[in-house]
Amino acid sequence: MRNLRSRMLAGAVAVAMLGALAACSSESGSDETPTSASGDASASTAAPSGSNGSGVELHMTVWTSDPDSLAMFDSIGKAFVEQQPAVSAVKFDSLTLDQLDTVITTGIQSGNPPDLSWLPVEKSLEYIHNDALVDLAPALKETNGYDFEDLVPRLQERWTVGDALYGVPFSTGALVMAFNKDLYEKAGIKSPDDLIAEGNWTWDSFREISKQLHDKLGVTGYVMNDFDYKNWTRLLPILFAYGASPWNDDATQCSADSPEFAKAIQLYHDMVYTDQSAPLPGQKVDFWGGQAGATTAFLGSMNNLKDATFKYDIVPTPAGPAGDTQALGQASIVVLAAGKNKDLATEFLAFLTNKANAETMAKFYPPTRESLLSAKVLVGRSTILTEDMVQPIVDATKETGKIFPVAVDDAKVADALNRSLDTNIWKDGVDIPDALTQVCADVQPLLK
Amino acid sequence: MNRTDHAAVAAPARVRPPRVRPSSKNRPPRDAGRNVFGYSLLAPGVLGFVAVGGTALVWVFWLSLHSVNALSQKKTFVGLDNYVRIFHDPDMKTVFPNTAFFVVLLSVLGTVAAVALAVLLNQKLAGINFFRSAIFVPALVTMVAWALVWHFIVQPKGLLDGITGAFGLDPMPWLRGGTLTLVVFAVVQMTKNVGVNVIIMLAALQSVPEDLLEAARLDGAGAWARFRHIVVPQISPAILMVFMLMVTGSFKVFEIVLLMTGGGPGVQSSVLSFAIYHEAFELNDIGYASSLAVILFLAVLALTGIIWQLRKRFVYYESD
Amino acid sequence: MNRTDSGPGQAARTGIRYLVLAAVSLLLVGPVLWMVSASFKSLNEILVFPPTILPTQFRWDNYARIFELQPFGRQFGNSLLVMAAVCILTVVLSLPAGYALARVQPVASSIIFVVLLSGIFLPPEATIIPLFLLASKLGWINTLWPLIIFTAVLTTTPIATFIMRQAFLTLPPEFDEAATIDGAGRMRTMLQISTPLVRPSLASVVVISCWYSWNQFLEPLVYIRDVNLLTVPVALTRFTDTYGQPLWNVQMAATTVSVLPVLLVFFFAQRHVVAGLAAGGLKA
Repeated sequence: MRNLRSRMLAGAVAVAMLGALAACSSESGSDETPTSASGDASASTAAPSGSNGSGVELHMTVWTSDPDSLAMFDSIGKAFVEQQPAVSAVKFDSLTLDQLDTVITTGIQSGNPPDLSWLPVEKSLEYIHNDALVDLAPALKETNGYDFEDLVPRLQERWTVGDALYGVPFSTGALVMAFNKDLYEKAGIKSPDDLIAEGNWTWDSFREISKQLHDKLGVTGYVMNDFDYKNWTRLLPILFAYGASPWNDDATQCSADSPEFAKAIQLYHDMVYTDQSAPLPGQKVDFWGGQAGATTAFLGSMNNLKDATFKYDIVPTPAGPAGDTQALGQASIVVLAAGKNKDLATEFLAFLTNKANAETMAKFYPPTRESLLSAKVLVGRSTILTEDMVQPIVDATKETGKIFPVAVDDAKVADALNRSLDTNIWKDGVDIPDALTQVCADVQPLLK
Repeated sequence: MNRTDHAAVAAPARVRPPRVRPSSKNRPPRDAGRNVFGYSLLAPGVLGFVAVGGTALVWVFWLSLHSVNALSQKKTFVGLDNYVRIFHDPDMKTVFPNTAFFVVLLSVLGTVAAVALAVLLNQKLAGINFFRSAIFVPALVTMVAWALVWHFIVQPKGLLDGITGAFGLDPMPWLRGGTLTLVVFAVVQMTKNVGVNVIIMLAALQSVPEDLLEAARLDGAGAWARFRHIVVPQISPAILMVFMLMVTGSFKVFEIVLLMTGGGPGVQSSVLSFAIYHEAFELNDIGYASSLAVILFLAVLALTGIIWQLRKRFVYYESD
Repeated sequence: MNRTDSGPGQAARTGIRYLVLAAVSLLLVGPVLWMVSASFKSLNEILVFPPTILPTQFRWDNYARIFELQPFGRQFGNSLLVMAAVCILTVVLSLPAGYALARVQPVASSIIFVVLLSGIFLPPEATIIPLFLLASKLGWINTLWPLIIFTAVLTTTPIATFIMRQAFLTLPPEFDEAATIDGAGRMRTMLQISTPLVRPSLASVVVISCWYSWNQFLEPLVYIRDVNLLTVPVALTRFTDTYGQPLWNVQMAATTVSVLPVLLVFFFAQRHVVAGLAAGGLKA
């Protein structure tokens, strides 16, 4: 037995040694690996700020890893460093959205938080309530040529408390619908374009064509992008069209048990379980690869269509009993109150979101400045979008668009809502109004 | 390192009679130098372990007595409130039974499966080496890779639905909660680790002295009797080893839960270790998560105690 | 049943054995084969129902995309680096500790042993919160240090010490006494006389610590956020397009790449394993 073991383990040791050997070679080769903007994050931990003696280094966390938009931010950062000698560099650390909270709280804990950050609108109240953000209004108003009045007030709502402004939205994008023209053509049925032309662009009629598409071709009719039955905000185009929201305006009272909410959920539930035109929980369907008739996604995600092998169009999401409305997601740039260089960070924010730079950013992210809210700016150099596609969406953003509902304790409320919907709603043969009572029972205790 | 090498080193030690001092006994007296030497050998490992582990345990307990707001860095002493909350938390009525389910099922079934497979693989059959290698393959794959692959297999309209469909069955809601999901997790976890356990068992089985078995056979003992009364006692240390590995491993269901369902739907497929991660790192509720971590630690401590007692009763060989 | 059993009963039994072995092997190897097959499929084909067993068209570019989407080579290097460091540290810490517990047995060593033993059962999830805070205070977030130090000290060393202790216990009791009288120092006795005899156990310590650190998932998930510092398991979960949509075929390709070297090494070493198994005496 000894011999047996020693032989077996000798093999295992060989595994380990080979591993160590490979470690050496890949270490030496690692310099050739291309590094993203976050590549120097480890180095910056070792040398916190301004180690070269000439001014501080500002850090800003972002959740994109798109090289083009990171390059754009880098060049704006460089321009700022040139005009402000107190700052030696502006670094953009990219991470994923689900890491954001942990990164910021860890940063605060270790006394080294990022100076600025992107923050999704869902987190606005939570951060404001905890005094985690700096009021930007005074500084922005004082900045020459900033044109504070140009910021559309309705779109700053979630970041405004009295006169104070805690974040400047840089991206306010509607959830829009993209559809696969080829599939509708192949099935020989009405497409969303046809329904719009008929003036019959409602969720009910969309449900009907999705069912037809599924029945004729066996493909999925409709898949919500980034939903996976875990992200309730992706249901908002339907919810808003039915005049539903999971809670009231000041987020104190659950309204997921309202008849409007039930009707909206019923529609999607029917598409999944009755028509089978939308994917089951856990089922993976890829619209961008051509497997589904339509999707709803942020305008920014439409870049996914650049490799599309099918003809497509982009339209506003359908209307419902509550009329024609669009669900707007939003992200702002904020200065963290725990940061060490708040004044310089605020100054950079004013620079980053001034008129000229806002226009540069508008090529990537839908803006909230009145002067920039045009189809022309939004389309920019995009090869995917056209002004015809985007004009109705811009109009909707300006007039009928509604920003995502926000709760104070967002992380917990959203988690409870997602989990409760998942448990009670997303299965076959559910009495929706009944099940929604349970949803409210789960969520209500967390609303303040 | 091959057989002859090993034998060359090991043999003299066994053969050469040790030169023994007249006064020497099995356990020589512990003199001061011996203690100094012993402690200096133990120091790096033990001090490191106690420093890091002790700090962690004291800290996690202290945190569990607080309500922590990670964002505003406010920490309020709340006494045992977090523990009271565990009792009232409806989610925990699912999480705790699920955790117990995995610990019991995986440790018992995993050990039994390992013994059974090892016995099967210990047969003299043509091509047995192929099966011995095959069984070890999942052990070479990381848990994450294994969970990701299985996630594909059990996804709606995936491979498994394709297979059951070929037998005329409807697609099953593999990951939609309830016992079915727990069973899927158990299968994923068990298939991942069974190879290592079988190898340990196989090595133990092959070290069972053949003459003992032969003697029993001559005494007319049946196959089961031989297995029960000779083989099992002989391989009991290996059984303990595998059982311990399975118990610790059963808490590792964490990765499967996180990657395959995120504990959902609701918390139907959540376990304690996942709940800790979820509360601490996804919901930023450090205080509550810490109280769950303390419970986990206490549960494991109790388990350790029980297994330690079992060792004394059931393990045949313990040269201690 | 005895050795001379033969005839149809024996044949049926053999048949059943093969059937069970085949079923188990399929369950264990099938997923790996499925992974390899999926890694060559297009994103569309991977989601087709009923699924295709083999790709209709082999998409080798899935493999090229692994390295476009993430610095996968570097992440592989990180994993190997952490693995090697944990492994070395574990051996350095556990070998003397195991020896001391088994053969030196200073006062209170049985208490020390029980304390260390509790580490074997201390799940990382129970200590991750304070360790995470500790790492933030030490400035270790986004470094490989916590993956190496915390893991080696807290998780692998206890089990390794246990294994080494058991191994040293099997040596005859008078063994090191004799060596000491021969004039060998205590340190020399341990390193040059006792240690070579427990090489198999030492090897299993190496395997276990490598295996554990190579598999680490929770720890890098919590401590690392820079993609360039990620280790392989977490990196595997991050194969998405720029908008966070998973690219399943590339993910399976990356998973295949992560598994392949280990499998290859195993199949090279397998002859030793199998020879060892055979030599271990199917017939003694």
